[in-house]
Amino acid sequence: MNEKAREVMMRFTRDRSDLIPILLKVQEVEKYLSPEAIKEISRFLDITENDVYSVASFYTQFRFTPSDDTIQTEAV
Amino acid sequence: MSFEQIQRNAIAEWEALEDSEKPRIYIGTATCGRSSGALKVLDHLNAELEQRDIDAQVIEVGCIGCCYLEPLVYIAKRGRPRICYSRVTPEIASQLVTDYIVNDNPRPDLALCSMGKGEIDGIPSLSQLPMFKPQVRIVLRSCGYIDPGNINHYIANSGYSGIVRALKMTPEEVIVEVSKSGLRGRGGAGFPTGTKWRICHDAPGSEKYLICNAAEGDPGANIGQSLLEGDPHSVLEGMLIGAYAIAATRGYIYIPAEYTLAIVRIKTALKQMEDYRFLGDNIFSSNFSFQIEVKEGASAFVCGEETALIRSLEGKRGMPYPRPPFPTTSGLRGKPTIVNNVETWANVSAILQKSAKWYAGYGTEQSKGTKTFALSGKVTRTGFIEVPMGITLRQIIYDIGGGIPDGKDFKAVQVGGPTGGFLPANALDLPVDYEHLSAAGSIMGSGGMIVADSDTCMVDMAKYSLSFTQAESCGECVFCREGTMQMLEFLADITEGRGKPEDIDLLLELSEGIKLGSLCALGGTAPNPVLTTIHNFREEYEAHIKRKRCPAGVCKKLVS
Repeated sequence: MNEKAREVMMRFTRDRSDLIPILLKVQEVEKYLSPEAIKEISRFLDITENDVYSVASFYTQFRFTPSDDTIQTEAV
Repeated sequence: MSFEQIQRNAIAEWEALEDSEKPRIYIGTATCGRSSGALKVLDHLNAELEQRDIDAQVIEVGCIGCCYLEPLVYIAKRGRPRICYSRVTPEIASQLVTDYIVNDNPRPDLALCSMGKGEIDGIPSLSQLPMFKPQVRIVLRSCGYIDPGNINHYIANSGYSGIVRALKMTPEEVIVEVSKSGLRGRGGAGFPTGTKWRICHDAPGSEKYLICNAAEGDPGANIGQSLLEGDPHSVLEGMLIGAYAIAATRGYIYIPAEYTLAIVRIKTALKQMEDYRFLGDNIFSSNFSFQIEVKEGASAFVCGEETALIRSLEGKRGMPYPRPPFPTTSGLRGKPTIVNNVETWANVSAILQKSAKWYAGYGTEQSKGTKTFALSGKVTRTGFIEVPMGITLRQIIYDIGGGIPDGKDFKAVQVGGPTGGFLPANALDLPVDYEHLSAAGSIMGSGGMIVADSDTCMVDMAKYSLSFTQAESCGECVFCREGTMQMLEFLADITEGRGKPEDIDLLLELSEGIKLGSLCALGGTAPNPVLTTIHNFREEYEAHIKRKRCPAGVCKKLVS
């Protein structure tokens, strides 16, 4: 996980209820959730990596592979 | 500062603005305005005013609901109502500055309507417009009218008088008032709000929570987003009232992270509330203390369901859990919790500002008040509307919506979002309320209303709706997870010429199973589009299956 993403993560409390907001912000910085990011988040919140994956994979906007093109959609 | 003093200052500020010598230019910059280019118009206006050295005040406002006419610009001069101009481009904006602001010609040819006291020759008032005439705006009372970034605008228009009134009553009396108003949850299920609060109030425990559900999930009906962008304080005041009634100490706004503008508006609003000490300890010098926190969530349709939402708030997969216990006795972190959606909270503040009796004066016997809808699809005037309960579908689609464009005929309307049923022409005179919609096989749901014209294939529409719910099924209940997948395969077969005569009965059987075998309302309502299209348009299914023909000429594999 890069410095910027780490810094963003550190702004949150170490409470599990901040897991989804953390995932959102880290993905915003790194554009996807890398295995290293998942590992760091799991340590930060003191939950298992498996737990982090299980939550992240539930919500469709989280991605686990980098992609060249970022698709932007705008609500009408 | 006492509330009376704050209120006096706010009214003075509002009146000074309304009475200002300077012309005022309001521009609708909610998400819908922005996607039509409102920010370009705003930048252009600011540059134009500066370049020509014209002293005018530019104010951003929310959306009044005519999404099809965006971007909207309103110009007000002293002692005259605001004049609303629609589909404003940077060029038209420059023209209006020259014509109205400089040369005092209000350009009735470009104007849509006037808003506020007074009349202007050749321009109808807002309430005379066919789109607005049948509407009753309680929830959307100030959207597009006040500056959502200025708490004083809200206070000057009766804002926060509701919580002040509530604090003079006991929590029990507040609950009775909400019950008397007849308000039912606007999230879709229509559970009586007062009853929900009563159960939570009576639940043992010193720590209680309150949640504002802003996760709409319905891709076609983001009224909550528009409301939070246009009038966030109306929702926040409702939350304060609810918190006082059930003695909650903490409130959460669960909002999808992609609602960026709404989140900015809420955060600004919360900051202003703190400055006025409307949040924190001993609010309005009473014993009541309350905090509100914004929780950005990941979007999932199922998270509109309250138990799934609570799990998501706790940082877990958003999957519903079996009830009882209901969240009112054991919700967030196992504590008594009430979850109400954005629209419900905005109704609560209106009810306390006025009275339960006034509110109950609108609507039908069982469904009181108003309901917002996002009118879209094959209808002339699309947008966000608010109507009294009991209005007919015909009034909504023809009077407010202006009927079906391009001389086509009405075929069906899907009420309640992707899990709502399709109602045919013979249901047009149906009064819109919880009971009648559910008897007709549809739901109030998210307030989505999609109109289909005679060129629409109903099997294709049912397939489209179901493909959404199938993808959004959380996977917890077997019937919902596997059943919707199976149904979607049947529908794909039918629309691609592989349908078999027995498919219709199998679809009906599966639908019943999914309705009975699902924990939450997603599964409970997912089959509605299929059930109602089979019920109302069975001949279309039969044409696809028996004659391998799509009567509307939509299904590509059956057309050639």
